Amino acid sequence: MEISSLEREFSERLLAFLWSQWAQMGMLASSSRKDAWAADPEALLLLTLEVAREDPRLFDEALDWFLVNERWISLQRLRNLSQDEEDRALAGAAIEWLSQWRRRTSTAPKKAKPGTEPEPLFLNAQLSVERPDPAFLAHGFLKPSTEPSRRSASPDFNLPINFAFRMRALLGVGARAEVARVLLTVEAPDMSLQAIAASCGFTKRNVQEAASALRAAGLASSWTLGNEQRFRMPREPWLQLLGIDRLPLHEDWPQLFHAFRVLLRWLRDPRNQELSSYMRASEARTVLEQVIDDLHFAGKPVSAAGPDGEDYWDHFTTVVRQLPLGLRS
Amino acid sequence: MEKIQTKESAEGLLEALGEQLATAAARFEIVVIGGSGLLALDIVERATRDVDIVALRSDSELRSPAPLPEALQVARDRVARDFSLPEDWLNTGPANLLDFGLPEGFAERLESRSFGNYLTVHFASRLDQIHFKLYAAVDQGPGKHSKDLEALAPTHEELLQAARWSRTHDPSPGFDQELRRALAHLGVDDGDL
Repeated sequence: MEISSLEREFSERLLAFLWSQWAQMGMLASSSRKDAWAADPEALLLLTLEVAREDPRLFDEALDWFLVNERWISLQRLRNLSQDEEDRALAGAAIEWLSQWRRRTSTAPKKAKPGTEPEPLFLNAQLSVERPDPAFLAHGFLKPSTEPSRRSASPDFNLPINFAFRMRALLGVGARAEVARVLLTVEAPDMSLQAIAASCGFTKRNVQEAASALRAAGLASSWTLGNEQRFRMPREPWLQLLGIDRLPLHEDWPQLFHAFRVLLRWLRDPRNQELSSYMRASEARTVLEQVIDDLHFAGKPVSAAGPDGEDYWDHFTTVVRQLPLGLRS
Repeated sequence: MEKIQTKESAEGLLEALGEQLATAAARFEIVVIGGSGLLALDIVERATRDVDIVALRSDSELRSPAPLPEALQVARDRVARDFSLPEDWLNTGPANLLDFGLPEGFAERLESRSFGNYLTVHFASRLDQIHFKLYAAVDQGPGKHSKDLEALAPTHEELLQAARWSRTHDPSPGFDQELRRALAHLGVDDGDL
């Protein structure tokens, strides 16, 4: 299988997945899915900003949703989950775009950083960008300036997928809501601070403060095992409080989506199209090794080990094609 | 385990190394002796576990390969990972031969092959391999080196030439005694030494 075919297939799977997620979260889109998991809004947004570079409509709808639902989003967390320069550029541009439209004023176009040539935001774009969006230009991207439609709606808090928003409505947009979401949904009786921090996308110190506050409020308990402080939250009172039969399922989206972004960027890189069969397999092995810890953290039974030499490519394509996008996919 | 079974597998690994170096835009010329060199030059057909670098060459000058330059190490490690080889599949084990002196005319007799635009491998000639194999066979006793030496089918004169060179590397009486015994085994009168 050629890299371009694998990229197309993976990208299409991700786009369909993203549309289905956002449709359940208030974006103007339709989906028959009712997922039982709790989404991670910032992680989903970050993945969307990358994947939707091949789908301008989804990209603009995601920005529109971001603008309409800004109060439910943690910009700090969006920054925290940005793991590399590409993530930071996309997240930074989206945050600046938000600020630009929040003010409802037209700002003078900023210039791209000196010494850097802006690149088209949308891949495979045929037309030149006549009127670049200043927020994206400031982060090195040429994106056509478009007016937000403001057609996005607020998330329906009763859906399991929107559990994070419900927690934020109760506990505020910040580490407390994330700690509560993780402790209530993860399939483990208790968790170490380190594991909670990795799932939450906040620093261990922030998580410790938040978890301690929940404990002080009588909502969580903790004990020390060796040098490790572990936390748990009793679920029955929460089920009663929220008026639901069961809590949504947990997925470690930040790790999973980071792996998806790294894989997708590698598949999209035109330089990789030129590689020999051996180098393509070798580079594929390197990129899979790069994301294997994230995939394992997210509970995906994937192995980076495979056949020698160029035969590894078949292993890699199988892994990418069979990567579960979520718990039930 | 001997992973380099045939001439083709040796060449395949060097081609992979050349591709890794090309990706890193790092150009090297390596000088190789030992079993992999014998395989490459169709002198013997036996498996080997590694590729022994005796020197690096740049601007026609030979210099010590130890430690391997970082770009070459990275490329070597990638190939090791990709083909389930030990990391020392490409090593500088025989580097001290360069320090003590290579056979006279060694550089002129090298047989060179390019593996892409970024890797040139210079293989020691048959005559020089006779030098190294005789030295190793005497130093380490009967085994793969003495078998390789037999496969090289050296002449009387070539063995004497190799013996004189090997004595410059180990002038000890013990080595001299073993050397004479080995030459006698190979049918050479050590009176000419």
